[in-house]
Amino acid sequence: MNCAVCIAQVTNPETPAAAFSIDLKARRAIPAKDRPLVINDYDQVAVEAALKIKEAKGGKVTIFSLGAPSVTVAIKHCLSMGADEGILLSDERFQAEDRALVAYALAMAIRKAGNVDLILCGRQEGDWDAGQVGLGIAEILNIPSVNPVRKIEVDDGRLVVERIVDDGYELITLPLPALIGVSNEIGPARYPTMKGIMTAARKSVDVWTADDIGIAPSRLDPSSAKVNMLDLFIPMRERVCEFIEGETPEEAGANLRLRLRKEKIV
Amino acid sequence: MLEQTSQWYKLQYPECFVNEEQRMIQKLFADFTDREIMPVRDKIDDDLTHNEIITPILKKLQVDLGCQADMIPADHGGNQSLGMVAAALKGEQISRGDWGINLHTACTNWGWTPATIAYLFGASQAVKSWGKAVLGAFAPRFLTNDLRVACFNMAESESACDIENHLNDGRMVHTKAERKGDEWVINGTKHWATNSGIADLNCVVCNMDAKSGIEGFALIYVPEPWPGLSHGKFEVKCGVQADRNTSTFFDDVKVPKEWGIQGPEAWNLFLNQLVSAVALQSASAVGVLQGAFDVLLEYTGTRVVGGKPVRQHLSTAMLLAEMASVISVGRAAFLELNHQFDHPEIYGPRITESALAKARTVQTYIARTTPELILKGMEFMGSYGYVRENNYEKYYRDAAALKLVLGGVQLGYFSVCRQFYDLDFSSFGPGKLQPAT
Repeated sequence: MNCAVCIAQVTNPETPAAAFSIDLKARRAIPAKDRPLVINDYDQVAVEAALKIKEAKGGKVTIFSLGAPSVTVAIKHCLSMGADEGILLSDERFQAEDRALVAYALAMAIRKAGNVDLILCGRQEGDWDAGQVGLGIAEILNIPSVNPVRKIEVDDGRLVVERIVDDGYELITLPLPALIGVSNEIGPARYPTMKGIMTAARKSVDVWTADDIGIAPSRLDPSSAKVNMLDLFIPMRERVCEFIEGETPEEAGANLRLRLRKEKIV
Repeated sequence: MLEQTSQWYKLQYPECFVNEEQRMIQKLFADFTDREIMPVRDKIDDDLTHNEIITPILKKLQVDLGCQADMIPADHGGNQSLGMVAAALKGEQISRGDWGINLHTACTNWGWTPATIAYLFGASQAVKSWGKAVLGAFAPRFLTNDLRVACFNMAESESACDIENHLNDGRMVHTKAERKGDEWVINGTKHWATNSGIADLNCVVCNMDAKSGIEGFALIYVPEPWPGLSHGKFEVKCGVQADRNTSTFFDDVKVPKEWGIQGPEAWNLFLNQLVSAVALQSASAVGVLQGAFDVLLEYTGTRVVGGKPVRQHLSTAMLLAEMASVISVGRAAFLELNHQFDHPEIYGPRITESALAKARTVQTYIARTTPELILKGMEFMGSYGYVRENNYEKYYRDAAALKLVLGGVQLGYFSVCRQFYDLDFSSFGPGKLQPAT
């Protein structure tokens, strides 16, 4: 049972909003310098899910990611957890903001790698919370997908998964190959082991460009982006604090009731 | 959270000393410390039974992360993680959370070191064979999912720093080993060793014949439980609770002759033990100071006195800067030192007077400075620094012991002096003890 896991490096979700600024012209959020990039938490959980499947059913786990060469660190972390191979899609023509392009590139890479039974992604990114890439990959590869999933079982060459819904979960059976968006309910990602680190440090991560995975130059042109960012801004929140007065607490309470009614809050 | 891409990090851990694998190891233990140790660090020293907090942490560290196999060679199924820089980075990070936890894991590695170094790098076939016999007998039990512990059982109640004083050539070791037939027979008492009383395997420092010095020096592995081997009570200490210390009594303890080694080859392995531990302890001391600094920095940033945060007052700023300076200099020093020890092909062997003097300069400087700075820092936290829940006083207690281990800083200073002149600090000679006759 060969698994592909797509991971992304994101700005640490713990970074406070005040540490970001907005490039209005480029419509980009710019984190403050020296803010760490981390592996998307949900993606780490997806790696954990893949490793559990590997332990139960055998096969190999291959990590895919798109980004700058520095993403190699994130891929190696996954290798040190127990993944077998890592492939980085790195090309300055990739526009990471265009989730459709990211999904297309990852789909092309997975297709090129071949022999993949199950693709696992995190349910969504920790920075934009878009949750589009995984489902986009499934659409491009024309395979079934479910997201978000809290439990995965492989049974007789098919998947039985629990998809999270508002009031519980749905039990879904689907054939392979398939794509699953993994949620954190699967369980925490394991630590790497010392042996895993020593093995991972000696492994190389393959780097593929857009040409290597057969993406036409026209698809890489920013004008062909499927997503058009219209505006990006920090919402302004105004808070007005007013003390409702009264001679006694009871009177203040009565005044508050009247005021809330007047403002049509109650 | 350790941020390895910041400029400050790059300046602190330069690429000439720290490679990719070592950074990954450092990050692993930084994350482990932040998640597993930091949230409970104020409670660790009160876990007298070890059942509530300490052992669960140790099981994750030693079993789940695989650290108990670090010093076991790869061809015996272990990690063969022999690098000094990697071990130093690990020690720094764990000590940032709790030095006792670090002592536990470091001393399991320390217990294995003589056998593994002998097996991999032994100067003779006899030495290699000894290492192989020990590894063959005991390594498999450290490769399971059970927590296993090793102990380098060296110190004695009447001669601790005298044993670590290499000028004594092992003549102050009173634990007696005899060869009778195909067995070693050990009699004597050890005290203080980290992991004593909980170890599954001891490497016991012995002496066959006090008057013969190095020729009579012996290292013998003894597993536990084992007939004739018993322990006293666990010491109740100021801090460092995760580091268990007790007496180990050897009453006609008999083990196969293959588990022991004697003479100059055993002595060289012992010297390697000493100098390596000194180098690694420097990193642990920096970790303790870093842990205290982080607490102090945060507290003085939120506590307001005289209308502004405490750290905006000049006196506090001076101390914070002094602590940061010692951390930075200490870190640079321990990285350089351990890097040099990782490269004997350039810098020469570790078991020389010069190498020991270099290691001791770094260790004594940090070990002496750290407790003083931490105590000064407590002034700026007031009583809040003296209570458990604010996480500062534990570093004060950890730091106090930094000066005591490995023979103490005074012994370290003596070694430093030996680099420059013939300071005689042996126990023997004119006006001092006379060698046994």
